[in-house]
Amino acid sequence: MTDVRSRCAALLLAAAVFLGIGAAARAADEATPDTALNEAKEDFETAQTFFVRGEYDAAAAKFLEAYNKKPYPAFLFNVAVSYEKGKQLEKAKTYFEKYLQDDPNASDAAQVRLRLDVIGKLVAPPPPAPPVAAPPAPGTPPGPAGPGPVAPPTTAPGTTPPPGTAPGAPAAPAAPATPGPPPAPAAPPPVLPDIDTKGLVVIDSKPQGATIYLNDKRSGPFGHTPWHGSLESKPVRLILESKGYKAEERAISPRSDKLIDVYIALSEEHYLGWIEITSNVVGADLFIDRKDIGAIGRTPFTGQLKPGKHTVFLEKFGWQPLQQEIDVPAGTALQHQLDMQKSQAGWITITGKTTAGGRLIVDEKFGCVTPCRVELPPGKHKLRVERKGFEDYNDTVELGQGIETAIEVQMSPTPPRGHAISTGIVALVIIGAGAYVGYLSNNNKNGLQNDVKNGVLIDNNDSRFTTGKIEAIGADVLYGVGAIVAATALYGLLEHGPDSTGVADHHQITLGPLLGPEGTGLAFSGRF
Amino acid sequence: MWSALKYLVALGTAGALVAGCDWRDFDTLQNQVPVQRVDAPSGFSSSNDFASSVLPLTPPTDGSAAAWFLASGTENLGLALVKVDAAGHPSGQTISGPALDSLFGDPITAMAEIPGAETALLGAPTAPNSLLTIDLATATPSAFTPASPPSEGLFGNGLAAGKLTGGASPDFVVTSLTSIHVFVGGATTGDLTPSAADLAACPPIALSAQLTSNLKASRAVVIGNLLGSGPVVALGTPGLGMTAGTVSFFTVTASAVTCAGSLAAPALTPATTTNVGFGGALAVGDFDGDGAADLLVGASPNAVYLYKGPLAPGATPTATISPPDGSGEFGSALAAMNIDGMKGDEALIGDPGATVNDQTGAGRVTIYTGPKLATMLAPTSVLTDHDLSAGEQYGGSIGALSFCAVAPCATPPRLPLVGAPSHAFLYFTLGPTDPRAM
Repeated sequence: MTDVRSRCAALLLAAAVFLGIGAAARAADEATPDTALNEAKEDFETAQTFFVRGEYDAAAAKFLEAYNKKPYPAFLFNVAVSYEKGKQLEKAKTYFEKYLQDDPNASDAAQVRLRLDVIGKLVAPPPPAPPVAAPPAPGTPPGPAGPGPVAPPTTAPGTTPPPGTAPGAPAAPAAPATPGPPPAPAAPPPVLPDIDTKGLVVIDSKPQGATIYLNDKRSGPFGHTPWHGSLESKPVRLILESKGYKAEERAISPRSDKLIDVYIALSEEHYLGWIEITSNVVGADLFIDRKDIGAIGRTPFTGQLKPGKHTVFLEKFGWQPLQQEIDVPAGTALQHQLDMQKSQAGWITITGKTTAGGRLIVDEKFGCVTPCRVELPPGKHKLRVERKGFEDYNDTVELGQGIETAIEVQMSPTPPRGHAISTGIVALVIIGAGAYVGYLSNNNKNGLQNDVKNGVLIDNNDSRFTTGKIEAIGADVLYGVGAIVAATALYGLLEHGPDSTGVADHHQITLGPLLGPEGTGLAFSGRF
Repeated sequence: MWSALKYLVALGTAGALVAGCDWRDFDTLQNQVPVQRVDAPSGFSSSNDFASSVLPLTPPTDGSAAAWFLASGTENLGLALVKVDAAGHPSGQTISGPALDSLFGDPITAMAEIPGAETALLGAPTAPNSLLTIDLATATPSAFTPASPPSEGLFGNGLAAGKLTGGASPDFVVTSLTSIHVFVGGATTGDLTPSAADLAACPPIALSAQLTSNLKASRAVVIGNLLGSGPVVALGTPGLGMTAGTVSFFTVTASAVTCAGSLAAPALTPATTTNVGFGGALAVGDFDGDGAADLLVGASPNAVYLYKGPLAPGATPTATISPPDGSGEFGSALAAMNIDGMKGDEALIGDPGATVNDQTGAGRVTIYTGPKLATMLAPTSVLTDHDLSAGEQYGGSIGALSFCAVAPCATPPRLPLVGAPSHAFLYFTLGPTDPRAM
């Protein structure tokens, strides 16, 4: 029984924990408390349905209703688009103009103005016939739309203006009774490019004022909540961050026919610590705990960290790498000033297209794969840039502290060795032939010596004397020729092409004060 | 790159070391060869008829040469005096002059050294003025014209010189187709010939007119104490057809030439064959080393006979040397000399028609050691041209060449001198020591 009770208690506890976590999770994504927005969203979706069906007047009306509930300029844009699709260009013109009035800095303001020009030409009345022109009938032009709820268009729904007239436009004068001069050929009417409705993204948070980042914090803040606007139709990761609150991330996929409402209630996260890292060197790469995953930001840096000890690395060319332990208490905001020291070393930088894939040897030790830069202690260094198929570049540099010596190396190709090798082979063949002929000569000589030694009655005209002598001379000649050819081959092998050359530039790395929007500090600069 | 260079240098060095290509080594070696081949000197009438007949000479007294000899063609007129220096290097000189011009191109087929005079007697039997002498020191030939020129043909086809009459000067022996003449003291007047009655007492010495021209033009005549009673002349008379050859001996006094007997050709086996070649070649030597002159008689192509001296007319040969396999003209040339430095001369038997290594007529010379001559079944050694060729006729003439590297020489060693139409060959190393000064 006891066991049963224990198990039940455990299950209840687990369920409570699960429900609690679920509640916490939901707290982050709770529905927006803005009922007007919800209603506007419903109208937007209804309007999109009408728009898709081709019921553009109804769509325009619904977009307008949505606007009346939440005055987002995008709704006005969609009203205008719906009217344009419904061939009510006057109304479309009106709402495009209202759209620009609402959001004169819209990203597509220029395109909308161009579109308005085109629409204006389309709805403009034809030029009057001069001599017989009748006074125009007074019309009722639509009044300018003021702020507040937008009035419905003056044209009754369901009525269609006569062809060639815009809704609300004055009626066209009657045609003259007597024929006039033939009209000039009309220019082709301008064409409106295709257009679609605009999606909407609404980002809000609790508390408001959270910083919005898109995809990556390193690209900088995108905005602050509340924010609404249109985004490109592609997946994007939202990062919301607010001091004292846990950062939140959401992935959304904006579309032109959707209103995406992101409302995040940021939870206070007391177990994180807020840090602000500043340095005397602006723009130094900042690493936290691990360097292999890359820099997480640059100085000055702000962000949250798990409480505890962390290792901060700062690196910047010209400065000694800095490593420092920091302690991050939970729920606090601390500022750390990390001052970097100017590097005591100098640098050798090898550049030049022809050095690609070569090796820099410094003091007979491998330096780096060129083009590259190596850090070296001040003093005299012997450099060699070597690359297969090219003459080595050799140089000795006197490197000073904080001096970067950049050498642009132009490597000279080594002469081709093919001819020398083939000449060497010919030399080997000739010398080999000489050795063979010499061997034959030696055979004759040995045979004669043996015959003399053994008392064989050979005479002075034995053919081996002549043959052996000719062979000996032939062998000597072949050796001589072979030696000459071999020397030629050797020359070819040892022949150098033009020396590889290099032009050295010495850069003094200096420090200077920096005043910038993100802070002040010492800037790293080069003097040439 | 450097490894390729290393290989190149290593190969070159190894090649040079392995090859050892100093051609002068061959010159050095060439000077050390055991045989010197002598070719016709420049200006010689025919290089292919250069040493068909060779005459070894006593080394010059002035030491101008270690040895010298005369070489003559037997088909064309051509005479060369070849000198050999102490190192064994021969140098030939073509002999010319009015006396030779008077031969009208007829060849010299008989030669004999006149002892102690550095002069040689030359015979061109087919020429009108057939006898010449040559001063060897100056290489100047002169005509030797008898006061009463003999009327028989081929006068001068056999020559010998020596002290036969006991005079101060050597006597000249000159044969013809049918007779023998002795010019006492080398004088051109009063030559001696055997009387008709005397000739009748001996076998005929006249050569058959049907003999081959070379046999008729070169007749074997030697001088030696063959009979044990003083120097006599031995004259070979080859036969023809059913007539066997003979060897006749003549004693010479200041007033007469007398036949002292003869040697008849031994019968051949089978007996139906006539030993016509008997007497075609003669050589005198002390083969058994007993101090008495022995006679070697060539009976080409059938055999060579040794007659131990002192011999008696009508004697039978002490030994018969049969021709080895491949013989062609075995015994057509003979020489006797001590080669091995031991007791007894060696017999050198020329066979210019021998087939050697399937080369027909390449020719060879076989050497038989003297003391064992009577019992030997095979020659001690055989000489051939090292670069032999068919028809070379090596061994057509043979001589014993005295070689005195450093004058004066009391008893200079004698070297085999082998003649062939194209070359002469000198052998330096057959004896116990190489006499050359190198």
